[in-house]
Amino acid sequence: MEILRIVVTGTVGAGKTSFIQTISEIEVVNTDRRATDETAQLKRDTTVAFDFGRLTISPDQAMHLYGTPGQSRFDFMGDILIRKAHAYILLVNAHRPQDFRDVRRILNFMNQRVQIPIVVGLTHMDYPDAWTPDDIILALGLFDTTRRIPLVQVNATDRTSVSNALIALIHQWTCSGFGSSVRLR
Amino acid sequence: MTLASSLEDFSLAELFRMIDQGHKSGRLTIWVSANSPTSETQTCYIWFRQGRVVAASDRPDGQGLTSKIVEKNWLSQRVIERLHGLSSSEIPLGLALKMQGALQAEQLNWLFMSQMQHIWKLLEFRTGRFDLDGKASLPSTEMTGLSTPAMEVVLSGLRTLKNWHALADALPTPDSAIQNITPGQPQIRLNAREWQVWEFAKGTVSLQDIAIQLNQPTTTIQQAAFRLMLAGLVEEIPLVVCKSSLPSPVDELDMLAPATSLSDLLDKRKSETAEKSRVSPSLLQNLVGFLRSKS
Ligand SMILES: Nc1nc2c(ncn2[C@@H]2O[C@H](COP(=O)(O)OP(=O)(O)O)[C@@H](O)[C@H]2O)c(=O)[nH]1
Ligand SMILES: [Mg+2]
Repeated sequence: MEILRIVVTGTVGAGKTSFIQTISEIEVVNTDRRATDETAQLKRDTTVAFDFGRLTISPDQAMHLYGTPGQSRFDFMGDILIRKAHAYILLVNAHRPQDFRDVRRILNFMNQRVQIPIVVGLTHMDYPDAWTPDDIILALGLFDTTRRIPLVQVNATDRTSVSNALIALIHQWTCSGFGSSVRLR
Repeated sequence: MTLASSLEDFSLAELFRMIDQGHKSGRLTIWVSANSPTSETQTCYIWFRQGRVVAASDRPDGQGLTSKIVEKNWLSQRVIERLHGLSSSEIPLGLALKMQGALQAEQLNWLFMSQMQHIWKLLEFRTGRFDLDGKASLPSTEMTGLSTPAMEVVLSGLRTLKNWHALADALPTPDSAIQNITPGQPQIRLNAREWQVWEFAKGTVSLQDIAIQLNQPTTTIQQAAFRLMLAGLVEEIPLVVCKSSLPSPVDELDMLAPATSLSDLLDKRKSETAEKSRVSPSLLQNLVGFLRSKS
């Protein structure tokens, strides 16, 4: 089984759980609530709970989505998760400027740690007081050529919108030379 | 489209960085109230052109600059109006008066500085709101003709700021490091403390350790680091203890994939915990096709 692992991260209420639920073929499983005998042994040492969703692409190919829990700022970033993920989507709630600082810190952190594809997804753009993408780019410090990261607008509750965000992520991946090139029709 | 927030959510200092880096123009309106419930709300206006501050006033009627000149007994209101009327109305009042020999360059400097002091006082307010109207026109009657980059205005203000209450949440945390993000030496003028802290901007030493090495209070170092951040020279980098000895949550989750058993996983974990599998182009291509067809 070939598995593509995508981490969906971001601040609390940005839409991580919705994003995974919208695209997953299974009910989103929160690992914290799973306490079967099988997992018990592993769970004992595992302090964080993840949202988990899955999409089967073909008999031997699947995409797994991992939603980070939004607690304090960085506990969610276990080193192993970082090394195992193939790509990230960072969701930002566009009408909560109070979160932009933390998002900026998360971006700096990941920028330093990993060289994997990432896109920033702006959610809640349908709110009247949402900041414009241009202003959010400025607030996150992403205008700089060395730190340019693609931005997409996404409604985490809408399937087409979530699909498009994932396509943008794969596009970023193939264009930035992280993976072998893929023809995107 | 306006840019608005409460000051609790987004500080004036960070807004000035955005205005500078985004070369924004327009009128910023700020409503502040002192940190006691009984105090009245004050309204202040700051105008920008291409990321530079061109004027600031606490009056909505465009008479702020005139009243300062009159207060100083430099010219009477009648004279000011007459002289300004002689020049084109787009010319900043201060510049018009200087061209007619009614005010000297030092007087204009004094007037502009007094507008900047107005802005510096605003940095202390914790509660309030702001709204940047990018379409507002610039008021020639409030303008001296002088301007300064928004970033420099805020840096100067923060170098002498006594009460950092309003910026408590914006400061980099003591256990973060800072990382230089510009090639070469800073082009902007820094003070001695900022230079000292800048030397540590390699993303490895926490601010609290810098404080120990420089024998300074941690808050002093946080404040200097924050100014370097506003100047666009460094970014805050959280330092996180490596937790690689813990079992991986991803391993746990892999059990949710079809046809995996616990023993498989435990074996696999021993052999290649850190290894990231490669993804074939065919998977990515199939996924894109799948997403397109299902959406
Ligand atoms: N209006 C709107 N609501 C959204 C959007 N994305 C997510 N939501 C809602 O925001 C709330 C928080 O989402 P959730 O997925 O729980 O956020 P999480 O904390 O990141 O997991 C839910 O009520 C979602 O339905 C969006 O783009 N627009
Ligand atoms: Mg959630």
